[in-house]
Amino acid sequence: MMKMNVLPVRTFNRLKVNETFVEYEPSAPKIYEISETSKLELKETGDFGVNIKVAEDNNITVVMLCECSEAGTLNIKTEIAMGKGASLKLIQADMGKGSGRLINTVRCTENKDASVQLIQLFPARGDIYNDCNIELTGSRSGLDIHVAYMGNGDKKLDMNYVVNHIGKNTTSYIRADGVLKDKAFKTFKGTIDFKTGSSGSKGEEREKVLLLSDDIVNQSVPIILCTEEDVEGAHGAAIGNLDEDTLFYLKSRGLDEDEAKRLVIYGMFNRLLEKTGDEEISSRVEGFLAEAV
Amino acid sequence: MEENKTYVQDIDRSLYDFRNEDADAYRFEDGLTEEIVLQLSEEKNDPDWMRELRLRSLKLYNEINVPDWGPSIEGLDIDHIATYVRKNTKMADNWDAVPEEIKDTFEKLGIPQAERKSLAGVGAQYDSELVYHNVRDDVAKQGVIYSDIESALRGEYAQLIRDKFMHLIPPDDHKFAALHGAVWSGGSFVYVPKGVKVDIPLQSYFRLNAKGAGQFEHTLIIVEEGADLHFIEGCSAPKYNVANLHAGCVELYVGKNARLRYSTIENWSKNMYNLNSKRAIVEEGGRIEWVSGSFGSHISYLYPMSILKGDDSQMEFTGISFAGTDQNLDTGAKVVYIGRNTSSYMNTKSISKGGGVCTFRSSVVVNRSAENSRTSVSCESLMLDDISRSDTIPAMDIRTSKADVGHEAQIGKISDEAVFYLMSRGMSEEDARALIVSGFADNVSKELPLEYAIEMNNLIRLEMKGSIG
Repeated sequence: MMKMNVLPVRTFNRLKVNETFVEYEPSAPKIYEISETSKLELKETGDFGVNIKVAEDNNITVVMLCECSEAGTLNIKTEIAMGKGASLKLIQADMGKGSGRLINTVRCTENKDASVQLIQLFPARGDIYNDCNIELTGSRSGLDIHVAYMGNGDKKLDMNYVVNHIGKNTTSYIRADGVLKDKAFKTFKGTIDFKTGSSGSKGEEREKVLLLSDDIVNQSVPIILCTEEDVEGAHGAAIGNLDEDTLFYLKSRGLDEDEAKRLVIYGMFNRLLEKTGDEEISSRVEGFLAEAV
Repeated sequence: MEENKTYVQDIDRSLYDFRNEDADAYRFEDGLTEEIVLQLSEEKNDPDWMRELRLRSLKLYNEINVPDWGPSIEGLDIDHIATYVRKNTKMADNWDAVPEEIKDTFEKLGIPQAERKSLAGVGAQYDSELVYHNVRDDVAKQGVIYSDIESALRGEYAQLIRDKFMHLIPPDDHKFAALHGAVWSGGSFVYVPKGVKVDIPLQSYFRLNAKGAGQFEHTLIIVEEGADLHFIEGCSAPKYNVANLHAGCVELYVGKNARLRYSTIENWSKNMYNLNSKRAIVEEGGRIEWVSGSFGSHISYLYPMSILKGDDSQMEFTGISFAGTDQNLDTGAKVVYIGRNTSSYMNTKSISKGGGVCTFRSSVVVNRSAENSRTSVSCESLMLDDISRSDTIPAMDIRTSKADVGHEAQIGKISDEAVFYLMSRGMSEEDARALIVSGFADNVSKELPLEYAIEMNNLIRLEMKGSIG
């Protein structure tokens, strides 16, 4: 049993959001060492360790295609060390088959002036357990996380993001967009923690969830912790069905309700796919969406 | 040039921090045992069902763990808490019959004066027992019952109380609900009959004078169909160097198309562990409004819960907390949606200074049956220095697609731009900062009755000192 997605501060036990237990026993992982722009294809099942080191002032892109086999488990732990002024775009896309599930852990430490852009796409059918912890240690280090997910069938999505602002003038932005339909069960936990000494820092978290069925469960726990005076933190969530104004507008352009919803869902993913600039990912994500919507 | 910090003065507690000698008080031994519970039950002349509830609660108390979330309550040792303290006096319905010392206490707190001016009825509890209870004749004539809960247990409404008492907050809900069930004493019963609108508020005031004691009052309010009530609860205590405990319980039943506003100004002393439970159930078209000011206590756990059972029922929660040195105030609200077309609005503000900790904690649960429900949560926190702490821990659990959920939270300091703007309009920096902090608390203070709003403004009176570097 793996314990993961632990909230940095516990809350009411009845909500069952304080931690997640996943039935899985990891074994010794196969390790990848990465320091340059690369594309990794992690297939089948098993345990993988991906160590990304970005040297001072280096700028790299790493694409990870996670393609778990039908009914298997792919367990990936990515550890990132960012040198001074280094920049990383990390794209993680779940391309699992059938009910193959993905356990994805990201641990990242950023040095002075480093920046990380993390793009996560979870359009596939299998369960997702996603645990990201980022330490903004160096001053002026920055983080931009954007995740999009599709929850359909009886998919379980359990996501936890913890951003620790430690250095001065650090910035973070977490954005999560998703769709829940059928009997999907989603938990999104996002924590921005301003530690003492992180003066001048800013953190923001935005969540948008489109709910399309009455059998779904949507849990959201957006946390801000703060022991520093000179910071700005904000979080916002908008959860619900397609709002009437959007629907009215799209209908007035000649679309019916189903087409309008499809357009909104594609739009949610397209914004992110444009950021990846990877045609293979785009076409495969569209394949998953066509199947799900 | 060194820039002076802007200081926001601690809450002036001299108004509340006076104490009376306990010389003639009847006081149980410290601790919690079956003997003590039975002794209390006998003292109260409980009906059998109540004695059984107390014993069952005690068993649960011993079985349930302390919460593994929230502020530490390690400094609280129930073996050093007296669960029952009573002055040698009987409850009176006119202040002249209240012993001088106790009357003087409530005079200092302004209760009889407020009663004369702006209240329809008052209950005053001193340690474990009510010492005064009175309701205006014209209100009583409307059929409104406002009495101590022990008398009501044996009167006309005995069966009603039995049907409702600790049904909303059962003793197995959490450890301190169980504690309350075992040793509750005092508190008020309010019954507002169908269609009766009580124009001016009722107020209960709870004063814990005894050192190392607990207060466990129970408030039960039933507002029948179409009725309307504003109930105010105030509490304070002098400061001691040992822990005091407050584990009260408030159960509110809001009938069809009824409205209840429940306002609380909590100003316990800084040695108080305030582990209080409040819950309301709202029927079709009914409305519960909570106004909650948390200024006192060493540790506070307080999350009034609303169950929106009936279709079209509504909840509004307006809260402010101010945590200074030695204070850890963990407050917020919970709401459970069951009925259709239900809605809730939570609006909270918190201010932390001098090493104080403010936590906003909430839970919004929208069940599948709650079609077309709306929820909106807005919380803002202000940090006045870098030795304090301010946390926001909301949680939402949504189980229908036909819900509209919005959540916004912000944390920050006094905006330099806003100060600059106000200064450009001719204001001094001191005045500008004072105005911003007052403005921050304004939409909460305007929800309070006037005299409480003035009190709150006094409580967070600002002493501004600063210069531009």
